[in-house]
Amino acid sequence: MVSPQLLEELSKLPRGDKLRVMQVLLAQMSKEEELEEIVVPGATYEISSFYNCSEAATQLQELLEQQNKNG
Amino acid sequence: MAEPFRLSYTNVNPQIGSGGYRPLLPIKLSRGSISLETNGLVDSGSSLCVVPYQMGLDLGAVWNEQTISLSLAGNLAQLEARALLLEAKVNEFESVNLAFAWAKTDSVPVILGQTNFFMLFDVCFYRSQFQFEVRPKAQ
Repeated sequence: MVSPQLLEELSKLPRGDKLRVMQVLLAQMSKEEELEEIVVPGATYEISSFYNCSEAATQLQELLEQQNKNG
Repeated sequence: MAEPFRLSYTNVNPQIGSGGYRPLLPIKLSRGSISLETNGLVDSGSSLCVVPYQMGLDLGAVWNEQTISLSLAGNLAQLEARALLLEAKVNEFESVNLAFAWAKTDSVPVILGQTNFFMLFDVCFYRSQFQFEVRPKAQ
């Protein structure tokens, strides 16, 4: 909800500043729309990466080396 | 050097539009005489390869016989996992041994991660074209 106070303040601005405010807001809205084309608000994005499991990775690597030694 | 196997990304979650595309690689996993075909998520961010619980059972693995317990990190720390060696065949390439973390959950996909999928295969992602390529590492 836009406050009447804000509208009053904006209406007092010189023409050039009003145009500048419009440009800034339009650019901001355009960016938001662009972002929403990429990321769906409220959607669930799954991350299933097993990152930072270096200890387990080392264990698996040792198992493979053992397997290779055993032929 | 083998010609790369070029594939399209798969949209696993159309709800999120182009964000739902994943590089899923058809792969044949074998353990002894049992084989099954599945799709693995080619995940360069994963430290290791992962196979879900039921798939391990389907391949004839017995949880208590897999004696190497693996410690997983972060929000997966509570997840039990055991080491499981499987033979893997991608496209027409030579079969390789992949070491998997056999997770005691079915809420994970098959993941092809750094140890040791990325040690054996070179992968190029062309995400903007929804394509990726896989080929065995140069000998």
